[in-house]
Amino acid sequence: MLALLLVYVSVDQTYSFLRRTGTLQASREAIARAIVLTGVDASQLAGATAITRMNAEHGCPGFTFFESSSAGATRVMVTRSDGRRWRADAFWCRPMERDPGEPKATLQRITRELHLPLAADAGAADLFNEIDHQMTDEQVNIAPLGFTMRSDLTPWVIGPVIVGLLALIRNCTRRVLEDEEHAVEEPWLLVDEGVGLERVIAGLWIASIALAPWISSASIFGAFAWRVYADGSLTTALTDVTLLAVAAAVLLCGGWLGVTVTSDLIALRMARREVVERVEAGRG
Amino acid sequence: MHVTREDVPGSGPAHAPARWPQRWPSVVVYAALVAAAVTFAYRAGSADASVGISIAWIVTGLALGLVVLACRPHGVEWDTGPVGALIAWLATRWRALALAYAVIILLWSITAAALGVELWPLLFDALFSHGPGSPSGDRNIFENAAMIAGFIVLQVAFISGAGRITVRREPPPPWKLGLSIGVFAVAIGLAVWGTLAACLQLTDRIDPASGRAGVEILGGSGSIGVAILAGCWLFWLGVGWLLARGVSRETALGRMIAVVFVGSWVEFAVALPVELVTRDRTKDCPCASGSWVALICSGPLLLWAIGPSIFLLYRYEWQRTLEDPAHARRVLQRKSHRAKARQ
Repeated sequence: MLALLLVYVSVDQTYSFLRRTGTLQASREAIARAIVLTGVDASQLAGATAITRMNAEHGCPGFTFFESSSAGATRVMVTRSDGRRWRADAFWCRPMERDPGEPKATLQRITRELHLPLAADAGAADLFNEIDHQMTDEQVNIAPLGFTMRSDLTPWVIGPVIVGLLALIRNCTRRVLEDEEHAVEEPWLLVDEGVGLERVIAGLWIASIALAPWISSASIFGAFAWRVYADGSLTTALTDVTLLAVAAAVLLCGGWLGVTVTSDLIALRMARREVVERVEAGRG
Repeated sequence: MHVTREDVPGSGPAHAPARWPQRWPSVVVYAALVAAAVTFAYRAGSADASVGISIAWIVTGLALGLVVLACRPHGVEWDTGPVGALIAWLATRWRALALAYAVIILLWSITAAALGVELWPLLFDALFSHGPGSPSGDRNIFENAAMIAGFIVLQVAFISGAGRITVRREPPPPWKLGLSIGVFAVAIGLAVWGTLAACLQLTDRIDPASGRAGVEILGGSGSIGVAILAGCWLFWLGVGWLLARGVSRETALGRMIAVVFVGSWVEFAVALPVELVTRDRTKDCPCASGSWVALICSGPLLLWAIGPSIFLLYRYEWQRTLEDPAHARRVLQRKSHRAKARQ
């Protein structure tokens, strides 16, 4: 049950990454437009040391995949003093959309959506700084574990914890499987020969045990992608390879444990059934 | 008909040495495939700067494949004990699985039609990525029919190999499984290539505009994607050959399909979260995203792998019944026990 609760936290975190990615990208594109239209400079953005502009092409929505159209864009790359570097395109699919007041209005809308304090005289850069801080440095409280941490670190903690829990479950299951009586006296929904709803719930439970490590480990990749997305090129190639190797190891170990626990539970169900049949045959 | 233990898919190690004395056909086939891959990759990756890197990827794939073959001349041990109960349980339910597979394919087709997906295999794009801005109304009936036909032909080619399925008492020479191994290498090579693309997308090392050192694996003049795919294919060709050494045809097919299934599942598990998180960055052109490419590869690959898996489970159950006549009776008894319990 704890493993499934933790998987829920992982999925919730991944969903949170999805929402925040969309918001962060929208705010970065808005500030990129403000940089091009109103001349926002590096001194106005928190921690920014340089703003680089490049010419680029950007696709316009509303066309089919095979008939995509593109518009000229200015690719803005912002480098920060802590090594973070992000980029966004300032582009307009229709020339009449080039309104100098639009980026600030967009950032005000995002600020309201996030329920952040909105000062009347705040400029586009101030609004963006607040949004960026809120998005990239947020912390969450993990109730089942009882502590607070940076949101993108939670899947890195939960993934290995679920692997450990599955190893415990497999160990217990194998001990019972090796026992001659297979603990047939003990009621155990997952491996009892139930009927109707009991059988369905047991089946769903076993399936969720098999899938739990895959979901929690996949969340690690989501968290990793989110951090790279938020920070830009902060990590070295060696760090990236190491983190990918750890994430892949958790994924494969968890996946293998999930499958073998499922197999052991099925074996235990069969073994307990045979014990019951033997006892019934002895009575007959 | 006598059926040995080796005929059970995925069963124990192959202790007996391979019985084919002439290996030159294998060498000729492998060398021809290597030459074809090198030529294809060379012609596809025509940019001057990428030719050297392309050749390096292909040679590395080839070398690793040969090393794998050279290291294990008598095949590999493959202990399915830890998941034996799961396989046996699935095998007894092969009819339900076949029905579920048919329903999944039907649902896939209906969903693709309902969402206006232009090409049948691109359903995951419409489900998980941004997809096309609006349905074009162009159903591409002939292209879709060709794709479905190709999908089925590849499944049949994989299962049949170089001929019809037969129960053999001795291991067949791997070159008799040449077609199966070739299809296997394409499928798992694609899965590995897609996973690599998703990892590059994750670390933002796929787009030269990021300013980070990376590998240009997708489109573009300097792309070496085809060479990486060819390298992966050559490596997995060697692995497929190794998996088929010294075991029966069905054991070899069972091993290969397990690898493809797990590979495409891992690809899906990596690509989906990465695509969901990074899709806003590539919303103007999802095809520029490695995770998008991985995602649209993994869906059809998973769907493809399930078909032969169910067939091999059926064969496994059939062989178990041949080996142990009491097996079918036990299965029937359990079903009647459950029916009684429901009453």
